[in-house]
Amino acid sequence: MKRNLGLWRLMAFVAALSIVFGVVSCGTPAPAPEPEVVKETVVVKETVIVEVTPEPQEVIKETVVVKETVVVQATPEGPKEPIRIGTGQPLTGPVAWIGQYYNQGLTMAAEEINSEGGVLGHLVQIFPCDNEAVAEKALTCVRRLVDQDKVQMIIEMGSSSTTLAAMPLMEEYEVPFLAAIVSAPSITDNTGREGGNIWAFRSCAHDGMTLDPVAKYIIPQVDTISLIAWNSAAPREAAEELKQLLEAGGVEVLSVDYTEAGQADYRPVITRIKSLDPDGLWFSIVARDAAVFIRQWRELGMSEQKLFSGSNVVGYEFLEAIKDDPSLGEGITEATLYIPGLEPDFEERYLARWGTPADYIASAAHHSLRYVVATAAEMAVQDTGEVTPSSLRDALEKVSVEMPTFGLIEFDEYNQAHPDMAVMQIQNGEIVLLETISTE
Amino acid sequence: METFVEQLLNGLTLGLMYASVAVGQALIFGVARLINFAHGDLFMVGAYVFFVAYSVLGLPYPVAICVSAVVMFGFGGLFERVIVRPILDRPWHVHLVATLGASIILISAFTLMWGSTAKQVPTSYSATILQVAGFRVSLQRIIVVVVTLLSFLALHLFLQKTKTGKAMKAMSQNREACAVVGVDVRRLSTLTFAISCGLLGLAASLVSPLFTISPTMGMGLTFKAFAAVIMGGFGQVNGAIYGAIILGVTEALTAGYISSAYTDAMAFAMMILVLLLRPQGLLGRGKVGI
Amino acid sequence: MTSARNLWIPAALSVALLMVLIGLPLVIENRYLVHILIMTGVYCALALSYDLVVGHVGLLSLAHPTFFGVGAYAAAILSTRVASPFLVNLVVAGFVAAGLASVVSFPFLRLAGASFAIGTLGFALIIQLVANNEVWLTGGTDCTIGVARPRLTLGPWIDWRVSSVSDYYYLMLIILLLVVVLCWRLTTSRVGRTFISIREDEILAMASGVNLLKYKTFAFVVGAFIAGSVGAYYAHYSTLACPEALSSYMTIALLIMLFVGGVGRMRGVVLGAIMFTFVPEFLRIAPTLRMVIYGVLLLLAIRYMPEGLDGVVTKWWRKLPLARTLASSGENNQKAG
Repeated sequence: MKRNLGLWRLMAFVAALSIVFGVVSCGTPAPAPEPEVVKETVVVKETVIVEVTPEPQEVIKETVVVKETVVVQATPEGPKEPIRIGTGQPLTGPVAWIGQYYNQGLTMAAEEINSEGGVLGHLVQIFPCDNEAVAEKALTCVRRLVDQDKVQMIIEMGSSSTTLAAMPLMEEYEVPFLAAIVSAPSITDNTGREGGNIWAFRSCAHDGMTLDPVAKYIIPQVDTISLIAWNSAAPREAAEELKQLLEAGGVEVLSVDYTEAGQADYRPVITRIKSLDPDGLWFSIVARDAAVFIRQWRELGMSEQKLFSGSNVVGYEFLEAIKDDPSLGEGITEATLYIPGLEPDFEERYLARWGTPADYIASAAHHSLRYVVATAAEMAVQDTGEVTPSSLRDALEKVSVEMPTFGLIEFDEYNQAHPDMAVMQIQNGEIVLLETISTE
Repeated sequence: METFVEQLLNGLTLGLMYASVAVGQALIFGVARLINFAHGDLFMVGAYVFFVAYSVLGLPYPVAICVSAVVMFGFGGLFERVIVRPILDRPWHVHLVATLGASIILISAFTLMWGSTAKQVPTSYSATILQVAGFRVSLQRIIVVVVTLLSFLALHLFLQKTKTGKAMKAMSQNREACAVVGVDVRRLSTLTFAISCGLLGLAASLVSPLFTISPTMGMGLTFKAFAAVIMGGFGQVNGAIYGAIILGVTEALTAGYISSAYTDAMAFAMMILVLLLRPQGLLGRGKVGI
Repeated sequence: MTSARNLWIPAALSVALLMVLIGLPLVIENRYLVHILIMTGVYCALALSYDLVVGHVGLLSLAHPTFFGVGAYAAAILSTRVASPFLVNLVVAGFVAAGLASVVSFPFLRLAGASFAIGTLGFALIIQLVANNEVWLTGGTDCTIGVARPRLTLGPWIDWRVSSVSDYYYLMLIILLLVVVLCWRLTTSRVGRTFISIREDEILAMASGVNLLKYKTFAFVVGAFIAGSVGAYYAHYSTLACPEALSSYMTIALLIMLFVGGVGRMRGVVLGAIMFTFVPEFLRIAPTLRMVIYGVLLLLAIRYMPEGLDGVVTKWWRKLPLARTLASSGENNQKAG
């Protein structure tokens, strides 16, 4: 009995500790989680958007920086109503890394905007919501962001499936939505001015647009090919679409395989592909899994095939994963939207801020807020004097902004933008830009 | 034909990997009558211990394996004392929910500590490719197969020859009688968890160089281990090994000849088929259940 | 006299509770909170149907959410392909789920305890993979989207277009009431007593002439029917059906609700469903740590509440002065009688 009590105390202590730690480290709603720093101005408290911070000390450091700059620039007109931006991301579960990159990119963009005095004096606040990459939770997040957090806009839902699930609700709630990385073509099938969902926009290109150049690039190089895709909405749609394009171009598609994320053993699939002996392989598997895949591919002695990838395999994460033997990735070619190395300035700032190299998700998230949404918000303030969901939406429709790396962002009649894309190849452990293509 | 043989070998190695997880599960079930929902997550913990020992601390590979096995041996004992012991005498569905809670905690705690991005710990052996009887295999894979088989042999000898091992075997056959005869059931339960987790640590450090490590890698393994244990007959260590190999071969042949999207479905369909033909499992005797 | 009086108080309490439930959306203006209430209702109904299987005949099925998901898909596919009305979908989804349950009950009910649990788990995983991969039928990972909003018509008198969250809330309330009444009738009837006898001691029940397999199949199939219908409601509410509805994530949530709430007791199950829909939402204040806290709470609950939430509530209730007077007056009445 006595021993039970001891255990009970221990567990109660652990529980209490974890709750305290939770509130302190995440500290969003608590009335005064920050010490003295916050007391000086109200503005500061509202700019603290740090959700995914490694150490508490850094939070305070950040706060100080933000405070100084804000006070200088925002005092003449006094604090204005902040712009509240929501985002639904997987923050727990197997794909929590997606949400992490996304939040880091958005947070950094908001910090930059706020340190320059906000959008015409309106500071930007980010409200993340954990949707666990589950459609049901994505719907809960939309309701929470709109009704509880009173956001004026939502950027991203983290994956194509959650986006497709949440779009009708966001339309019903009349809150503008910007998709910045999700690439399933069906997302912008029913959007835009011609009687569709006018509240949803997409700043990245979808697979339907990117695959055409990909197919044109592949067709002259191979006669037969095998396709492998991650079993998730976007890669799956992409594989099916690519198969049609390649067959139309006279390439024989020998096999199409779908694999689960985190699948450990690709050997059986590779053994089968080996027996089919294709000229080339297109694989759309997330970077870390792709590294495992390519190791097993080489283990089975596959070296003749031309390798093409999707899902942004050609990037820093993949290079990092194969750094013990860079020759593993030799010759992998991908046509994609994000071009690593084109913006050394941004990549340096990102690395300094978060300690990890920027990837496609982080950069798309950062740019979409920093350039597209900030510009739209500025137009909304100029036109109507305030930032509301509908004024933001109207402004987004008219946005025309030059975004670094991605080129000119303007939304067409389907609310779809047409950023530039690039063909890149891994050569000697480096990413080399082969050519830039327009997706118009 | 050659492809078929190669696929069989692929399946065997995959099956051995599942088996190294499943034997511990079978042992725990036999001795403690407990379905451990956190078993795959303990494998994940072992993989991270190995990751820290090998990649962060930079220990040599054999030392890192030992560190992982020893640390996990201790962690298994601790896990039993903190999570399992207080509810050991309660009905088995309580075990299920409690270990489920432990699984949730382990997954989310490791996500907090290490992030959900998958990590890789390739050794120099994984890049060394050998030609064995016409098949290309990495040295790492051969190490996995050899050491796993050795560990099974050691476990077998332990259960057959030592007093404690015999007591464990006896427990899985008749728990009540053992308690009557004076076997210290609780000490044995702690020891069983420790041994199972030690095996998990060993298996994790063998296999991780081939694949990736992430906090959520355990769930799927838990289910596969369940399937293997139940196919073999609950509490039968040898049965669990056979069950695991059947699973591995089924998966490899499915991916090789039918569809890679349905590998797991075929593995579980195989389990259901075995259960329908032999409800007590491959090596189970009489009516086994809880 | 006594029994009438003893029944009167719970009846009054139930009516009061119902009034509160009906009034809630009028007071709460936050649509997000109403949404959480709706999800609580969905989980309550699901947990109650699950309890028929687990708590009343002692079958630990890990495939219950599969029937929910299959119901959701049935309704979603019907609604999007043949535009059939909500009520039809509700019933058809129930029958589809029940049909599937009766097919798989043949092989599975021969398995004992843990084998049954893991066998059904395997079945659940297979169905999820089918939903994931058979794109022509389910839409695959893109989900089946665009399920119509329900419209209930009854002759010229009623034409209810369900659209706002409070509409959905009332629709849920009606369904939940039906489920509660059905489960209550089932568990307190002769069938229900047989269920309990099976759970308590299978061999004894068999010896006293109970056809075990028949009753187990009955509970399994009825549970699946309810789960399927709730799934249909859910598909119409969320306007979609996704493979995640079939995932082990649902199974885990339901298991927790049942066993922490108090298995085999309706009140406990409802309490568990309420607690474990609200707790994760509440824990959103600590987004990264919430799953850790959730797990710790779960362990503490299972460790220190052997009777579940229901046991704790019963204990507190007995300590209340009101309950004491009620109990003593009851005893007095009995003595007088």
